[in-house]
Amino acid sequence: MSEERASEETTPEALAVLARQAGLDQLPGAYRAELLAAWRHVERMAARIPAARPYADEPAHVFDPTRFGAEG
Amino acid sequence: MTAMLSLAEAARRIERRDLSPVELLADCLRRIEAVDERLCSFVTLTRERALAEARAAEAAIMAGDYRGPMHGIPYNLKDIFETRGIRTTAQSRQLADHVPAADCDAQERLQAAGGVLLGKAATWEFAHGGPAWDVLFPPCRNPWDLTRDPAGSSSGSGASIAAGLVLASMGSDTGGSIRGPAAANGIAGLKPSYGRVSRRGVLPNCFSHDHAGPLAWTVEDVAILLGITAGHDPRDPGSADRPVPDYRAALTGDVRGLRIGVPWRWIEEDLPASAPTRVALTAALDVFRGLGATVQPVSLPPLQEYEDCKKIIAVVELFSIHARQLRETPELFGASLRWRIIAGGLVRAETYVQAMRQRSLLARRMQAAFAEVDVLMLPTGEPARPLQPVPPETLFTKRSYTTAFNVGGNPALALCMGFDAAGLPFSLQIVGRLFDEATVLRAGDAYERATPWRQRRPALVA
Repeated sequence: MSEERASEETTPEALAVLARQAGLDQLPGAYRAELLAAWRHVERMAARIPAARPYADEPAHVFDPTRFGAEG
Repeated sequence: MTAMLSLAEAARRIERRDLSPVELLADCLRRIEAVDERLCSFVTLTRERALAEARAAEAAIMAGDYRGPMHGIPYNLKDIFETRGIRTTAQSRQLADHVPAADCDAQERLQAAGGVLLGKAATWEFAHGGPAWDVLFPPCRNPWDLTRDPAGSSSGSGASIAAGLVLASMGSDTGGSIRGPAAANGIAGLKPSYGRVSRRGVLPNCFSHDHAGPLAWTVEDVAILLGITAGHDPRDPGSADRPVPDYRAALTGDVRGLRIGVPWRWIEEDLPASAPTRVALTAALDVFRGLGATVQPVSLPPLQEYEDCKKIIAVVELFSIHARQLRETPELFGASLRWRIIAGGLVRAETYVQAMRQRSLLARRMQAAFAEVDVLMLPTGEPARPLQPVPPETLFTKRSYTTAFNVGGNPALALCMGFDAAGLPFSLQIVGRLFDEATVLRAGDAYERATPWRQRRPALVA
């Protein structure tokens, strides 16, 4: 996916949906503009992360229950 | 006022009772008084506490109770390291009144070693947004040239050491935040292996990539600090339960047979180094050849793959940490940090997990490079740039020589590699196998012994 195409993918309407899902729909107008500008960059990076992986390809973080002691 | 000393040299004098911790602290306080209004490296000065600790150290040493090389040494902590009863702000208006009830692990260890806490050092907002002029404190400046950037985010740590205001500091490194300031300020700074130094009580930037580590004037100083602060902490889930070697004993000066790998494609194509930086690197490699090491090229995945992987993970983790404040009090963030984290809430869960899977692959490829070599060497970055606002998107678009080693988790040391025509420091980065900080430090120390760079201090404090 080219960077140009990625930057055009999220329309303002789609961004509004994403912002609502993230609990950011009440942001003041100036911050919504920041969100849109920042998202343009983040979605380009996200598009470059390979998604086709072997089934058993583990993520970098593995849960080790011994590392989380009881609270108290 | 005594000459500015390295931590190791001050410790030797204190142990011999040739130098009083109270006298050493007084020198640091005089320099702070003289320069820090312009340098802005401290955000909180704990003068009275430090005086009490220095007096206690002096009394103990005179009574024959010398605890080791940190005893009576003034240090500061990046202002994301929580300190009991001392305001810890992360340079943010969000935490302007935050006074922790407990010390971080590093403070517990440094205090037990007899150190003298002189205050809290300037940072970028939550170690991520900067340099910034719209946060709780003004940005720190570079003591080699006050118009230059000391880099971030451990800015105050790096600047205060170079200026001789303290002899040691602890910083954090999520993408280069120890090594960048070490480089810009011409000092030594180590990002240890992931898990080597506890992050307990260190306000997070991004959990999966955060490393705590030492900064100081020399590599020997860094070895001393690592020996004190490294070790398993069961209250940090990321802490590694591995033996801690005697790092200072590893500084033999002998690098004969050391196999050095240089990722030339990164330096020539992925992020082309400037001509002066390449000349400095080539000269440094020649020093190592002269000491009996060998140098060969190594191949690693493209820098961009490491950058994308780390930044996707980071933006999501950062958003998760600051989500409530972003929704409720976004105006209390500086624009730089807010811009850099706000879009993390829009990243799909699948993308985050795919980035974590990509990290596994990239980390494995990093470790594979060490089948052929003992260490990697490359520049840490370019000499300090002018201190001025940076477009926030730069964080997303720039590449660096440092971030890949946060993805891999490998130990990476930055140390002074000479000076450019303007008198600004070059920096060499030495990277080792996981948990082999000893070899990294041995190589760095050997280079410092063979070069004259530790004899020069910023004219600001001459």
